[in-house]
Amino acid sequence: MEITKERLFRLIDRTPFGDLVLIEDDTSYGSVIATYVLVKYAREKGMKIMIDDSLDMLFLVKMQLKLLGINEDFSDVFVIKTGGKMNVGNVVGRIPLEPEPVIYLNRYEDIANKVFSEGKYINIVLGLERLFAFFQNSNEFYTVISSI
Amino acid sequence: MESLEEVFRLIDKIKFGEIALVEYRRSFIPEFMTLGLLYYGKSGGLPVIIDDNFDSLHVIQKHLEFLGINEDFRDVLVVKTGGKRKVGNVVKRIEFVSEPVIYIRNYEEEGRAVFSQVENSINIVLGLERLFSFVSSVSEFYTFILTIQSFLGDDRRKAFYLVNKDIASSIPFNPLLELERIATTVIEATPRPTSGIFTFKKSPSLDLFGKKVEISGGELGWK
Repeated sequence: MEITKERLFRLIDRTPFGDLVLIEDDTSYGSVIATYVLVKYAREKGMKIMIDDSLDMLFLVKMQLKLLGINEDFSDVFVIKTGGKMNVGNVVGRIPLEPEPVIYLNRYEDIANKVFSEGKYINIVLGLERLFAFFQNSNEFYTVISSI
Repeated sequence: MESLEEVFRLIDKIKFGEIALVEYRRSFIPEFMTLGLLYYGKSGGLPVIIDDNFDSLHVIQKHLEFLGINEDFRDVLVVKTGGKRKVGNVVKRIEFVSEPVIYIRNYEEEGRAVFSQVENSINIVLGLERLFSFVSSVSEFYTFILTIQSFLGDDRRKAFYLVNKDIASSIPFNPLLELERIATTVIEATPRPTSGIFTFKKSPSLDLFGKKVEISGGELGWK
């Protein structure tokens, strides 16, 4: 089924704030396009955007968009970076890859609270599967799962 | 069955800056593919750079000899990692140290120096699965992956990573899934007795996505 931009945006409208949407990507460029659509949506609605960029995933998205013929520099997007070294967007916080999830989560919350003390925003989380690859045991795994 | 000329017009559609992953199984596909890309480069006046990991180019050259094709790769710029058999014009040798972080730093400094001198090159990467065999932790794994993806969008080159699917799948840190994601074009290559079938499983070009082409070994001089 062909879907128009308006119908797609209405779908996103119906997603309440506080909701967590999991987008599973089985296609070639699904998460790349989804990121682009969500950024467009937020801009059009005048909302702020925050991207959690684990292990340079946003760089990958930017380059793949470029090769799809779309130039997007994410300059108005707040980015919290975990690991990696390619800066894309407005990087407001950087967390080194921390072997101890509890410390990592504390750092993450500090930064997120500073950036978004008020107001509503769209949060795009990229590269979570790369982050999860680093967890060694179920304790670490569930510490992070519960925090999400 | 497509002619070599028709296939070249399809390779034209792969953009500079792309990483094309070519997955193959036991066959002479890497031999013919390397040769085909070499001819492609020559026909378009584009320099060809081969990343030769652990003597992979030596194996390809010897296999081609058995197929009746003598190719000395003298026009190819070779960046060599590990191994000791020099084939082609080796412009840079990168010492392989089993500590990936140090190796990557060497590669980024010295390898990039080679690329920065050459515009519009065809880059063939051989034996990446051998390199990944040395990975022993998640952190090393992502050090490699992030370095590979940092080359994406570098429009001085059009890169082809030739990876043996069976070998890559059998090493402890299987890089295939991440490579398929990083790559902007994924080609699955299947051998036939006297030809190869190439299917575009992923591509930003609507002309290529889903396309299947068959090339006869005879087109590349297999007698």
